[in-house]
This record gives sequence, C-alpha cells and structure tokens, in this order.
Amino acid sequence: MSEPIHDILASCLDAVESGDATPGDCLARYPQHQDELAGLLAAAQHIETVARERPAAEFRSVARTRLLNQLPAHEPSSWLDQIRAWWGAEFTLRPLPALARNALTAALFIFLVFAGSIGVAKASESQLPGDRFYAIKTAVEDVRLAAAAGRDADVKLNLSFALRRVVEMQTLVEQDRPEHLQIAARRYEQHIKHATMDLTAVPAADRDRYTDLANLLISVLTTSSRTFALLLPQVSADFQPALDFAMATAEYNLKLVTTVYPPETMPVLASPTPGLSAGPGTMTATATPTQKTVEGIILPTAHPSGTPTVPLLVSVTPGALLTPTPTGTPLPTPTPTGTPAPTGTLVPTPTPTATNAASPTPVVATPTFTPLPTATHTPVQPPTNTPEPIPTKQTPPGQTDTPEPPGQTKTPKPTKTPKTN
Amino acid sequence: MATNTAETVGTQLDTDDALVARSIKGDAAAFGDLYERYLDQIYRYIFYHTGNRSEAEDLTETVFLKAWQALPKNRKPIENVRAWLYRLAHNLVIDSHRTRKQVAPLEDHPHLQDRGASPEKALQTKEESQQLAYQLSRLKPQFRQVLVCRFINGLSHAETAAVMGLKENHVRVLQYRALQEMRQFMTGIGEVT
Repeated sequence: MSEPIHDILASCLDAVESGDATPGDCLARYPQHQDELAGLLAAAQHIETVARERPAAEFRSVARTRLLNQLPAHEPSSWLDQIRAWWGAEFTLRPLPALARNALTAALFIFLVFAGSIGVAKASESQLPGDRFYAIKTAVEDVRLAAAAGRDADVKLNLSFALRRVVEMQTLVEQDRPEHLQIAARRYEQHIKHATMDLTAVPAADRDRYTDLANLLISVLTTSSRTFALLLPQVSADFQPALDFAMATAEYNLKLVTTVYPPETMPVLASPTPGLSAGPGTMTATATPTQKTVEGIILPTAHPSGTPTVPLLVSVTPGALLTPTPTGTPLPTPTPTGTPAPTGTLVPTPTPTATNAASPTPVVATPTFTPLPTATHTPVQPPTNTPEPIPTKQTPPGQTDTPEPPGQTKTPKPTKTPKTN
Repeated sequence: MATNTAETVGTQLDTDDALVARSIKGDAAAFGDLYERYLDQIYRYIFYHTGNRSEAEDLTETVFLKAWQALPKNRKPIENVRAWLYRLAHNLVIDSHRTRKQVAPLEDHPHLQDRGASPEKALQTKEESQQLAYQLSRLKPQFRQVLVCRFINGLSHAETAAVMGLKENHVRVLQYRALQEMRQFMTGIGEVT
C-alpha cells in the first residue's frame, strides 16, 4: 500500500525544514507525486518567504511599558488553590471516571460521618453531668435501652447505667462539683425505677427465672445506698438533697423488690471504690469462674451448693466502681468455721465468721439492711437452709450521721420529689 | 547602557519555565521579558488571522494580559509556554471573529486593489504580507490555522496539533489540503509558476 500523499508531503517538509534534504531531493524520492509535490512545496515556501510581518517599531518601543502598566496585581489564591499548591498539581479526582469519583466522594463522606460518630460516642463515655458531651453519653444509653430486647436485657442495662450514675456522683464529689449531682441522681432514679418495675411486674409463676436478676438489683441498690451514705457528709448541705434523693430511691426500691423477691441470702457487696471502701481486708469478694458477667456485673451462679449465692459487683467504668479483690468472700450465711465472732452490734444471728482483723466500717454497721461482717475466703461448710436474717433497725452506738431508715422519719417517693431543675 | 545589555543577556539566559515561575509569583519584570520574547510571534500569528495591524497589536497585548491573569490559576504546570500562548491567541482570534461586526473586507482596501497589477513588486514590499493575509482569509479557518502555525510561526506538526487541539495525523491532512487551496489562489493571480 502506497504512502498517503499528505504523509509524503509532511515528510518532505520536515526534511527540508531540518536541512536533511532539499525540495529537489524530495521530488526525486517520490517521482509519482513529483508535479503535485512541487506545487505544494512552492506554496509553502512562498508563505514562509512572504510572511515577514512584524509589529510596527512604534508599537514595539512602548509595548513592554504599556503592558506592564496594565498588569493587575495577582489576586490572592483561594484556600483550595493553596491546598493544591501544597499538595501538588496531581491533587485532583478528575482522572477518575465520574461514577468512581462520585462513589469515592460518597464513601469518604460516609466514613467521616461514621468515624466521627463513633469517636464522639467514645469520647463522651468519660463525660460527667455538666460536661459538654454528657448529653451524648446519655443519648447513647437511651438508644441502647430502646434497642434492648427482652426483660433481661432491659434490667441489666438499667442496672449497668444506674451504676454509672453512682460512679458519676462519686466522681463529682471528688472533683468538688456537687452542683451537678442532681442530674445524675435523677437519671439514677429512672434506671432503678425501670429495673424494679420490670422485675416486680413478672407474674408470680415466672419469678423463679428472675431470681438472679432480683439479687443483682438488690446488690446494686445496697451498694448504691452505702455509697450515697458515704458521699453525704462530703458535700455541703446545699447539695445533700440530691444524695438524699438518690439514697431514698435505693431504699424505697429495695423494699419493693425484696417484697416480691424475698432474698434467700443477703447480698454482700464489694466496696465501690478503694477510696470509699471500709478498709483493707473488708467487704471484698471473689468472682468465681462460674459466675456470669453482664454489663460489668458478675452474676452469681444459681444457688450453688458450696458457696453463698451472693451477687458480686465489679467495676462498671474503668477504675471506678466495685473492683473485687481476690481475697475474702461475702458471707451472710451461717458460719462455716464454727467460731462466729460477730462484728458490730447487728442483731440477727447467726453471725458470720470474721477472719480479718479489720473492724467493720460504718457502712457495714448501717442499720438499714443486713449485717455485713468481714468474711472468710471460702466457707468450709455448705450453707444451710435457714432463712435469711431479717435486718433490724437498731442503730449501733456512736452512729450519729446514719440516715434514717425508710418508713420511719421519712418516706421518700423518688418519683415525686425531683430535685433537679 | 551597559546595564541594559547585561539585563538583556541575563534575560536571554532565563528559560521560559523560569520566567513563568517568577511571573506566577507576581514578578512583572519577568513577565515583561516573556512578552518581549514572544511578542513578534504572537503578533504575526494574529495578524495573519485578522489581516489588520492595529487589531493584531491590541489582541497581542490582550493575549499577554490574559496570560498574566491565568498564570496563578493554572492547576497544571505549563509544559510548553509557546504552545500555551498560541492557544490563548487562537481563542482570542476566534472570539474576535465572532464579536466583531461589519468590517471592511480585505479586498476593499485601497492598497489591495492593484495587487494583481504588480504582484512581483508586492513581494518585495511590506504590503506583500497584507496580500498573504488576504489570501489566507479566503481559506477555511482550519486551513488558515494550520498554514499560519506551520509556515508563518514555524511550529512543528506536533506543536500545531497541540495548539489546534487535534491529532498530528489530522494536522498533516489539513496541511495538505490547505496547501492545495493556497496553491490554487496563488496560481490564479499568477504569482507561482
């Protein structure tokens, strides 16, 4: 196939322009196109020869000055241009197809929103009442509660969040921010109320299934009440009503739940925090491998034969509440060692064995509920079937700041005494 | 005078890229050097499209004003400054053709009336270029464009393709057909034998 004439012409022109050939050489190389090529080369040469036009001397002499006088100052580049300048000229999605470009943009947007939401939710976990993102923390909790399926999950979540509130109130007192106690106290009341309602609404025939949860609720209420009692003297009288409210909530709901679920064994609780514990060697518990953990709460195994059925609480938030230590075992059951040495002045007998030298703390001596002596690590004898001792209302000597038991000097109704604004 | 000479020598040593880089940063003197370097070529390019000297002067100045304004906004670095300037000039010429209204056709100009009478003399004078502009004005725009780029401004096939936004092979075809028509015009007035 012969070479197209336009390519032959282009090759000849290139050769002539570069000096590699003369027009005559080209014509000799393509004799079949000689006539046509001669005319075309002549036309091209004519244009090159004639085209000598130059700007007028008058124009040239003033052109530079005239142009420079008209040049405006460069406008400052936009932030996007500055980013491009910093990133480099390749900062663009244009080489991608439109579909890929849009998909990439959408994916980036979704990722940012998702990551941002996760980050904010995570960051809000450490928020306290009065903090900027505390509302996010409680909103996340509300969402989790709304999504909880079933009575069990609802109770466990409410108890978990109630313990969060206890920790928050404790932290607020430690940080000397008691003005926000009422916020946590109100939400504590809501969580406890819902958990209690869930459990007390169970038909009598089905209550056996919820004994563990009822014991857990009792544990939470008892622990909460003690914590509030310890916090009470640490805040000024102006902010004590919030703690009074929370404590009354715990005691009132404890009465309700123990009425429906009469406790076979009295719950003994680990101290909320080391700072609030009665002292070394007291009120500590061991979580056995058979115990179930739910939302930071260790559930006891169902009525084991050799160990007391006592729900144990562990920390709910990092470093905050109820971290059991590996020594001691709560023991409201009959004495396993045979030499009971009751501590405190609590009434019901039999009293558990006290193997620790530590004396009971004021918390233990709280007359509202159970006697909580120190305990041995493991009971030697299995618990008997004797009924649980009934808590007495006797006040030990020397206890002057112990709150009054419910139903005597005051009958708190948590739902009708809101103290938050 | 010696200073001017030194400055001129120094300016000649600057590459197009260096002058552009300084111009982007707002160095008007560097841009003035760039202007002087390409003034004749851009003017010639425009003149052979418009056939009017004063319009060519105005449009040449406008090309460089637009270039000054466009330099800091360019997202990609300018790979070929000359081709980029021709491209600006090409767009301006097209806009000028679109916007200008009734303009006296070249053949009505008094100095072109007697061109056919003394063509050999015209080749020796400045008006010969005006005659060429007239002949080019009768070509199709793409034919005129390729001839101006190739034989008046001395651009290669590749550079012409870049200015015109075409493939190089397309430029070769256009070049062939444009020269054919140009030859017919020239033969018709008896200039080429």
